[in-house]
Parts: sequence; structure tokens; C-alpha cells
Amino acid sequence: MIKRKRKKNKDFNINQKSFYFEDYLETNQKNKKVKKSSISQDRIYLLFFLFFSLITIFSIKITFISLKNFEVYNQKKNSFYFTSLRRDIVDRNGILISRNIKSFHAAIKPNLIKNKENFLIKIRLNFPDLPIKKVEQQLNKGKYFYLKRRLSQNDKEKLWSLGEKGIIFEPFQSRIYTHANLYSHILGQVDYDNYGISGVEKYFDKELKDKRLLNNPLQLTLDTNIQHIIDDELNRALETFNATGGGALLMDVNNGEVLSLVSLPNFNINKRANITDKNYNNKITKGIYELGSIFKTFTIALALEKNLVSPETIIKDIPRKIKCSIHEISDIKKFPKDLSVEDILIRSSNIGTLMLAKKIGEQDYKDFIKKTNLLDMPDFELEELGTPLNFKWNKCKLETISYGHGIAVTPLQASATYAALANGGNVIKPTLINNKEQQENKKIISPKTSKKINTILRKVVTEKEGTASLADIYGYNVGGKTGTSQKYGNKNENLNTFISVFPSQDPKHVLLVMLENPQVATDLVYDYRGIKIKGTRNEAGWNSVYVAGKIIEKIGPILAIKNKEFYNKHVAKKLN
Amino acid sequence: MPRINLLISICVFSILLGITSAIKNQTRSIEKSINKLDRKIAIIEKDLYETELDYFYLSSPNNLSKKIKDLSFIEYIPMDFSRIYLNYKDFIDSQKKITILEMNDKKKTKKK
Repeated sequence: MIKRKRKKNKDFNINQKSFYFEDYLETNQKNKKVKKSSISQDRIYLLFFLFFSLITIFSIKITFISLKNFEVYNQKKNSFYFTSLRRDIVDRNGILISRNIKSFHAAIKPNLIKNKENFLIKIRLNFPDLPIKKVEQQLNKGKYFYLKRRLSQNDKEKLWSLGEKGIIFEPFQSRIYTHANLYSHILGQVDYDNYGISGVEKYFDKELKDKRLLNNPLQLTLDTNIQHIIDDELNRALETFNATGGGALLMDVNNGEVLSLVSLPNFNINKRANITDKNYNNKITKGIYELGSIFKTFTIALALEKNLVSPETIIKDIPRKIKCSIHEISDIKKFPKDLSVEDILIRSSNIGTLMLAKKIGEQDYKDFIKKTNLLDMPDFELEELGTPLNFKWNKCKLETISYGHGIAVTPLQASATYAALANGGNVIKPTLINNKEQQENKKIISPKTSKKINTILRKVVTEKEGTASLADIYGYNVGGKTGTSQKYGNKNENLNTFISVFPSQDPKHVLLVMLENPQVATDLVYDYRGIKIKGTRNEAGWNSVYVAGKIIEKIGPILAIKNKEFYNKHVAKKLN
Repeated sequence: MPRINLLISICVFSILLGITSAIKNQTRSIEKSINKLDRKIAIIEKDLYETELDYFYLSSPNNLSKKIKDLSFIEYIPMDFSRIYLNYKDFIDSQKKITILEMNDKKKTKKK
């Protein structure tokens, strides 16, 4: 029977024209069976598809969980997760100097406090510094208010132990500065909403909050160890010389990277305080001073650059006094009538420098000053910058400027100009971040003149008549120029400055040390060219130079070890 | 025939249901363990984050120089005067000495 059916099936052909009669019922049943089997097959496929989809969904879920982003689960309620809203700041060696942490404000919901009197007593006992009357008033108003902002761990525990429902610990991110006072004039601060309000925090506010860069800290060119050494020495100097303030700046002469910037007095940036005293300003970037004899180097450099004189040229018949309009210009000490150009700088003769400036002429001097950017607003990565005072080239200006009077600039600008004189004449832009593209391609003097200037600056330290003998630290070939002047706007106050470049045969660093109102250190015993003498004088050569010498003695080895040239020549290498 | 198909469908359905529920349970347990590990990692990362901060604070040059100053002020007492005993016998001996000295002192005061 089955065989016959199969045969019939085989014989079945739709296209055939002649056909024979077939049992209708049988055919219909057959079709139904075929249809049914195809339906059940479809159902199985559908089931497979459904289960396959489910398995796929679970697989996707697993993959998603394992690859999930931190931020997806970074909710306020979940205390396990913490994502900083601001990038860390590190120094050039990767030492952390600023980081965000989770902190709390203590807020009060008055309607949740049952016994207000009892609560006030507890607060008064635990926090006697809080203005209790104000708290009481706010409590009676019934509105949500902050009891104490930025709680310390101790305060938080005290409040927690009160067991009041109405005390709300409102989380927020606060900025911690690991070195407290050390970078107070550079880093600045942020407000409670994480906006930079001063210093680097304000200047780089956008970059520091960039979510894509949160894991990459902002690296500054500063060196914490060097910064500490300079800060420590300068603090000691303020005590020794009874000075009211001071500042120091260490910069790479070739790329303008600032390795250290210290301004004293400083303050703890972890504590929030409203400082209004001007003495707390950043003296290096915001302070504007008449830096005195420091400017003589510029005059000599320009005279050499213009080929008007050579270092050995003798300037004859230098008068003791010169009258310019109503001003009388003289030298502090008696100098020989005939002085060589280098002697003028070594001995720091005002009249000699003035005579050279006259030889240069006003127009050339003007052009030189313009090239050095000394009278422009400094371009630096801080908000606290001083604008040099309005300057007019009126009568006697050239004469006074030649030896550093009648022109007030920031110590940062003066150091940058010294760096340019020492590095072969290339104008550099002081910077706090490593960015080589930023440097200008401008020259103020030729490399030849730069070499001559470096040699003379070295002689200021080594020569018997030089004013900076105390900075002659063995091995570092220090060169530099002192400047003793009166503070701009207050002639009773002194400002003693020393700008040094070292090593003078191929300068790498420029160091500025500045002391405000230093007094004679009668208790201090100086080692002056191998002779022990007590302090009797108050010029820059007896305080700022002394401090610079102490600083170079300590930072010199650090800088030398980090200097590739020195390292390759003098540091033994492991063989294995 | 339809019964066989139905049976096959039910079998396939139940097998797949079993597999899916097993996969689902497995997914759930993996998800739980991932979350657990994630939380552990977060805690460790938070600890590391804060420890790093502590480290940089404690090893700051200012803090280290303060510590050096503090440590240089400590006066070291010779071993003979210290209360460290190398063995029990030493302790007994020193105690004996002290009691003898005290007794002598008492006698002297009585005589006076």
C-alpha cells in the first residue's frame, strides 16, 4: 500500500495535461499533513529564535557589566565610588601637590530636630567657636541651613555622635594641598563648587576640569625639593636679616621653565582665610619694583652689542657727580676716574653706566627695552600678575634707567631678561608647564655678546672689587649682579636683589633672590674670601648674595645630577 | 504524527527553558560577583587614592625635615640606666639592688 502511494507520488506531475481522477479525500489529507509538519517546524524555529534571543540578551548583559564604565555607578548615594571632579596637580618629578577628596558640609534641617534647646546646648558645648545666636535664629526660621562648612574628620565625628536626625552631612569635593604653605603663591585655591579662584587653579581651570583628562595629572615644571630648600633658606634669611619679606625665582635659561617660585610671607592654602595684607602678594609675579643696579647689565650688554665698546675699553674721566635736570646722580663709593667697561659693572658704577647709556642713545635703548618685553604685562600662567607702571621717555629717563632707577618691573621679567642675556640672546617666556612650542623666536643680543656678559657677570663674583663675592660657591661658577634700591612708592624701604646665572661658562639656570627691608645682621659671621668677618653692611652683596650662595650650595648638587651633560660625564653607570 | 511533533516541541522547549534558566542564573551569579569585585576594587582604589595623598603629605620635604629635627632632639639613655632587661635574672638583681638601697635609706633616716 505504502509502495503504491509512493509510486503515485512519483507519478504526480502538475504540468501534465492529461490526468486521471484521484481520490479527493486522500489528497486533501496528504496536504494537511504537509502543512501541519511545516507549521510545527516553524514553531520549533520560532522557539529556537526566542531562546537564542534570550541567551544573546544575557550574553550582552554580562559583557556590558564586565565592560561597564565607572561613572555609570558613580552615584552620590554610593559611598564606595569616588571620581574626582578635578585633575591632580603634580610637580616635575611626579610628586603630588594638589588633589580632590571627599569632604562634608554639616547642614541642618530644623523641622527634623525635636528638642531645639537641647540641640543648641550640645552644639555650644562641642563647638564653642560657632555663633550660637545666629544658629538659634536660623533654627527658628525653619529653613535648611549650613551649620559648618568643610568639616574636619574630628568635627564630623563629634556631630555624628550627637545622634540628631536633623544634621545632614552634605558631601562635596574639597581640594587638598599636600605641601600646605610651600606652593601657596603658585597653586591658588578653588571654591566650594570646584571653580579655581586664584593661581594655577584659576588659570588652568578649564583644563583641570576636563573629564577626558581626569586620569592624567597636570604636570608643572616646579621641583618640590628645590622649592623646599629655597623656601627654607629664604625663611631663615628673613629671620637673620630681620627682613619684612622676600622672594626667589629659579628658572631654566634655555626654555624658561620655572623650577621654583617662592614669595614670603606665605600662608597655608588648606585653610580658608581672607587675606587682605598686601605683604602676602606674590612678590615675584605681582610685585613691581625698581630693581636698581640689576639694570646696569642691560646697559653694558647693549653697549657691547652695538660695538660701541669692548669689555676692556677704558672710559676716562668719570665724574663723581652728574646733574640731570633737578636730579643729582652720584656713586655710593669712590671709584677711580678711569674704569674699563667690565669694571663699571663689577664695581657697579652709576655714572660709568650712565655714560655708556648716553653713548648708546635713547632710540636704541628704547628699542632694546621694547624687545625685552620689560614694559609689557608679563605672560605667565598665573592670574596674579603685576603690570609695569606707565612709562614715559621724558628728560633724564635714559640716564636713570641706565642704572635701574625710574623703571619698575616685576622680578619675573627681570629674571627672564637675564636668562635671555645668558643663553645667547634668545628671548624666553617664563612658564610653569612644559611646552616647548610657546617660546618666542626673538634675539636681543648676539651669542658673542652673551658670552662677554657671562664672563663679566662671573667677574662680579670672583673679582676683589666685585659686589657678589659671597655667592662664589666652589664648583658652580656663579655669575651675577646685585641691586640695592629703594622700594617704589616708599623710599624708606630697601629692596636688595641679586640675580645670578650659573654655571657661567654655559649658563643653565638663573636664580633671583630678593629681600625687602633687610637689616644689618650683626650676629652673623661671614666667610668673606676665607676671612671671618662680622656683619656691618646692609647692601645686597651682604644679604641677598649671601642667601643666594647658601641656596646654590644646596640646590647645586640636585641640579647637577638632573643635568644630562653632567650625569653622562661624571656619574658612574652600572655595567650590568 | 502530530503528537510526536508536539512531544518534540515540548522537549525542545523544556530543554531550552532549562538551559536558559541555567544561563540566567549563571549570569545573575556572575553579575553579583562582578559587582562584588567591582565594589572591592572601588574600595581599594579609594584607599590607594587616600594613601597616596597621605604618603605625599608625610614624605613632603617640610614634614621630613620637621621629623629629622624632632628625632635629633631625643636623648638616648645608656643601657645601664634603662629599664630594659635582657633576662629575668637581670631584672631580679636590679630589683634587689633597689630594695637594698631603699632599706639602707630607711635605716639612715631612722637613726637620724
